Amino acid sequence: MKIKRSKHNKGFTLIEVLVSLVLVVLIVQKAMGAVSNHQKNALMATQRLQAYYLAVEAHDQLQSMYNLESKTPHSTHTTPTNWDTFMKDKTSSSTSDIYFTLDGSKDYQYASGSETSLLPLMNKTQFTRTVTVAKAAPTGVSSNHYRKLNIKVIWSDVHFKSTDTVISLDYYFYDPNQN
Amino acid sequence: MHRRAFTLVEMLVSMALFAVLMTMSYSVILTTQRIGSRAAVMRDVQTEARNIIDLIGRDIKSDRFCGLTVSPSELKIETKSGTGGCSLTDVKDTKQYTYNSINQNIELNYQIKLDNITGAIQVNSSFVKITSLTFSGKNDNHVSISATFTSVHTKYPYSFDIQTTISPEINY
Repeated sequence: MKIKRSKHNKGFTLIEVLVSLVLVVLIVQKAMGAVSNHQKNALMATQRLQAYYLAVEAHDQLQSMYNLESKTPHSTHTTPTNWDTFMKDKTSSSTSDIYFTLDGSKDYQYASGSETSLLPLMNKTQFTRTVTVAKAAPTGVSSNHYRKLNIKVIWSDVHFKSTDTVISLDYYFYDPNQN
Repeated sequence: MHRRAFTLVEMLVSMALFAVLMTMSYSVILTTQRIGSRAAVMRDVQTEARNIIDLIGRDIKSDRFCGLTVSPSELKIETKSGTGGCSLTDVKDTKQYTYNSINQNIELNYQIKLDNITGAIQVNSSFVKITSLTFSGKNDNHVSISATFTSVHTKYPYSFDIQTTISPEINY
């Protein structure tokens, strides 16, 4: 039996070629996008790690100051001091949330606002840090002995011009001398 | 039956298209590999930085100050004029971290025999140099560390800046 071949069945049509090309372009574009994301993630990991250590820095600075204060309490306080007397000693603010900023000698002074200019430029990224202390206990705990320290570190990605990124860490300090 | 083979022009066009596609694929694979290697270098340097900061941090946070005593100072920060570096000494355990800015390494010196180890041990791995490091702060109250960790990999240069402060823990 003979199979008849069409005289006109000579190759691809223009539409077929165009669709194929569009598909190839889309696949390559996706592959390049994945590669670009990989690099972006590596850079974001750098900034997150730096931000984390800046948050730890604020926590340890305050812990250190409180430790020192409780060892050598202010003359007007009874021994040992607690978080509230420690903070009131350092600020004129009477609000429940108290802000802290670093001064030039890397000691915490107690003033509202964020720290930006005193934080170093790390891998071309400028970080901003905000530290607050509030009366709050961990979830499910009913006690006046706790104070919640919240540390926010914010940065804007210079590599990808993205919006600000924030890490926010909460620490609870337990102080038996606190009522 | 008349079967027609490919013409020379068809072959040349196919080969040209194939070459273009292969070049594009190779370029994508090469870029992926380069970015992967770069990300690996970044990850290694960051891990190294985290390990070293955590190692020093654990030593600072160890069992000091439980007695609520301010003196004698048990942590001591000094500058090392000979090496252009600095050191952090734990007087109680006679353990010392020394940064040498000439060879860009951190060494841990044990003054006492510990686990059959005496003398200096290089803390950082050979694939990382510490291009700057400062210890500052209030010695036994808190210690701030600022450092730049740099990969020795010349093909994928990467530096990682870090700053943190470590305070000894206190038992209430």
